[in-house]
Amino acid sequence: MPAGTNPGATQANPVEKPLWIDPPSQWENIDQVGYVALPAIGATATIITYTAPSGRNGVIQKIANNFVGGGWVEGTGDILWKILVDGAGIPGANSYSAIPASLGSPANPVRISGFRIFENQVLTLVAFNNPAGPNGGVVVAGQLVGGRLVGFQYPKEYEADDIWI
Amino acid sequence: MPGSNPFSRRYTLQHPLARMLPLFRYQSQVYRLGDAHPPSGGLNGYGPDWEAVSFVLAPQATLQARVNLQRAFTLLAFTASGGVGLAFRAQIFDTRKQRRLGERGVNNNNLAGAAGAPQFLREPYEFDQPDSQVLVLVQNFATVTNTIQLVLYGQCLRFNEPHDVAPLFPGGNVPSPVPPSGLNAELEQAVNDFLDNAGDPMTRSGLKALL
Repeated sequence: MPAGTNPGATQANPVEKPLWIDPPSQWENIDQVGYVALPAIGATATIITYTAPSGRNGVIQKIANNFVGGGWVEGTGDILWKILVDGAGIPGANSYSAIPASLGSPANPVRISGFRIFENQVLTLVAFNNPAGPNGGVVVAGQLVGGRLVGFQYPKEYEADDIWI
Repeated sequence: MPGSNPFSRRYTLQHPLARMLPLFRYQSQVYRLGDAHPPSGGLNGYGPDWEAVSFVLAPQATLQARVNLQRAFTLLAFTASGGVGLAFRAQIFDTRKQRRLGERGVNNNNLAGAAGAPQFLREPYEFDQPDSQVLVLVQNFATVTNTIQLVLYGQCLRFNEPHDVAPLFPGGNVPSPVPPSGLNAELEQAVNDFLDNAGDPMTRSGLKALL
């Protein structure tokens, strides 16, 4: 027995939480922020485009989207933000395909339950000037639409094979 | 498992039509040709089952649905339809086994056959656990609202179909508290005969009253 060991003591094992809760040691930050001019009525503008690097999976945990300027009323649906993965809604996170309100500002993004991203996936945040809104969209007058996506990524080798969804 | 493929893995159901498939153009030649030489397989007693999930999906939206599957549902094919053309991606999970059939969405062209034709699987997939569910996530990548239906075609057993492998009922075998009527009549007759031969009339009448 090595000197100094206590045979009666139990060894404390570190608690390892799933990757999407506690990042592993080789995690990398994801923080994407962007502003673009409000698109014309009926058009869509891409605010953020982020491609998950090869060999990395990750989690987005905070989001923000906002509007700078006048002519838009919160929640009307005249502008819809969308968070898309490879050009479609996020599987399992169905709530971000048509966001009618500001979910926090880029300076203060809101915490969400999160959604996973996988290597080479293209994550986009877009704003759609919706002509089907109650006011027929927002007349363009120099406004800006912006957003932010915050999370982390890690080497996909750390993924456990028992993650089934 | 009866019908398991003797030339493949043990306990893996063999597609009942697989032996009829040619090497080429097999998707167009998968139908049962006749009963004179019916394809053998382990699907005796099974019936066809179309488990459909339908979505009205907003532009570039995503939705999910769970389907409770019938007993021993064995997935054989996919087929899909869309209101404004087929432009979606789907992920499928076996929730009971906690198994994903794809980490990422599969485009409809790769999952289901073209133009509404079914896409038959080379190897069927059996949801053999009691109370199995399938979880389907569908992403619409069209920029317009779309009505999408994805159909999981397979074969399933009736809930009480006698079978030597599949559990009798979702949740496992459930013994019936009421014996069949014929057995009940026989049992009652046997008890009455026994009581009629009992010695003490008072005991006899008392026991009969208890019945």
